[in-house]
Amino acid sequence: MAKNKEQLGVGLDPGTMNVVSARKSGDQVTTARMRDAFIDLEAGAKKMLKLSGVDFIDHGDDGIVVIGDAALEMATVFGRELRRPLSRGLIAAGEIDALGVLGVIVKGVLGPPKEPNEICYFCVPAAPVDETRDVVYHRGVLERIVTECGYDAVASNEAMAIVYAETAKENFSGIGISFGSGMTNVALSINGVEGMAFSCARGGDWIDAGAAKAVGSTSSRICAIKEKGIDLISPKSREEEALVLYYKSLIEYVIDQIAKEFERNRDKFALPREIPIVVGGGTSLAGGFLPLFQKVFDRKKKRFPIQVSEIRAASDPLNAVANGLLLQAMQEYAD
Amino acid sequence: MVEARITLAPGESLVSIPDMGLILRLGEVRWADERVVRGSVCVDALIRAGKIRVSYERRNKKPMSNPTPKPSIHAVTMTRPSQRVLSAVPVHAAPAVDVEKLAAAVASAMAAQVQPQPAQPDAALLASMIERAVESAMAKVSITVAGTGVATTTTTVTHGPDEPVYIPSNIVGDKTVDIKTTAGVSDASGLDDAARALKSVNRPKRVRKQDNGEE
Repeated sequence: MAKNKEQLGVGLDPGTMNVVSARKSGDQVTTARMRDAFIDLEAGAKKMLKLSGVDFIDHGDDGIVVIGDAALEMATVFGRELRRPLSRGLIAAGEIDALGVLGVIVKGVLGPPKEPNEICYFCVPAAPVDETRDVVYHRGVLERIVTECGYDAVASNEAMAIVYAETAKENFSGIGISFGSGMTNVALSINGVEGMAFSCARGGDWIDAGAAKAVGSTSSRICAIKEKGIDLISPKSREEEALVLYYKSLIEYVIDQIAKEFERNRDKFALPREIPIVVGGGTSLAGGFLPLFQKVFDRKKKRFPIQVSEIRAASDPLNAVANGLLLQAMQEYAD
Repeated sequence: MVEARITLAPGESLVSIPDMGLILRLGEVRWADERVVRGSVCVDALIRAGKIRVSYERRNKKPMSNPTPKPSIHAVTMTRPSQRVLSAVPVHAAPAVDVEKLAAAVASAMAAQVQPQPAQPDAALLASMIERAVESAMAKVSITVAGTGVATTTTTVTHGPDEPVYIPSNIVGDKTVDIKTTAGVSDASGLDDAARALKSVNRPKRVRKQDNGEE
């Protein structure tokens, strides 16, 4: 075999805010990220964008579509609303251009396969416990996109990817929580086997919308404050205080949902020992997230039905899911 | 001269006879020409439906000069029945009525009577009616998908507006678009350790497509 089999396999995390891929090259893991957003502009803006070196999709007389981080900047410049292919963790059914843009973003992030039908593990959320939406269509569309990019597409649970990436020393036993932008995904694993998995339809967007409403601002402004850097332990402004309140509320909600789901599935499995909770995802990147999580958890610890050894953040919270997926893809090539 | 005496059947309060232009109300007695009544489709149908009663008699009957006096009742003795009393009235099957014919006749006669009204378009009402009609039609739609074998799958569509019904093909397209991604590099030693540990867990592997053609 000409190619080193250890270098094959790719992980893809198509999130509401970012699409991330992870590959192994030599002794390193290389990740490619693109913001999962776009904006459509009139054909007249083409010249200006060419001069500024911004990448766009040209639809001729129908206009142009700017994707990725540039779309966010363009939205601010033109005073337009940013459009997203995914909404609350799943493909936005009402967004007519969503599939085409998502296809371009995924193709750009994945790049060409190293061999025909190279294995690509992509993540899908578990079924939400607080919404009637299912993930069947989302999974089907992503599978088709990845396949059309020349890969052998394999769907895998989002939160389980965090467990695989981060709990090797606990023999892949633990609770993985992926705090995403559109959703929060939770999975409980025992020795690498999924015990329970679910998602909540609340995430970073829910925090932004709630905080914006509380202080009479807009979600995008609150998101900008959040991304600029915020310390959840010592908020410095009214907006930051509102953000802390909503972060706390989200954490409480997720912990309550874990307890509720565990009680519901208690008969299905047994936990022989204490297990860790590992948090990842873009929403967990905010400063002071882990201490805040610990603080909220300590208050609920007495009534929490699972013995928790520790609460820790993923080594690379933004790429943890993609890394876990890469690990699973690499396993397919292991002897 | 024999005329037709038209009255309402018991239990009826208002009956219209469109082809004669008559509306009968409770307690009313209408006289009409015998030939007209006998030739009326509506009268015939209404008699069959038990809505009206028609008798043919001379209108100006003279009262009898010496009517026979009715016997006076002095006393009534009733015995308690020892067995369940069955209805003495025989139950007859209702005569078959050609409902479609009747409906068509009634509708055409009513339409002739009604004065044409100027059209008053109500956009909101019309829109809601169309919406309801489309919704009810969509709820009944079923899609039949023929499988590769002999089996046929029938799916009733119960999707809401949020749920598209099919996945389009050629989403990515052949067009090459150069887009810039943010690249990151990290040490793979942790990943290698995890890969070794995961291997030892003996996780079941997926059967690859290229190995045997299908999963």
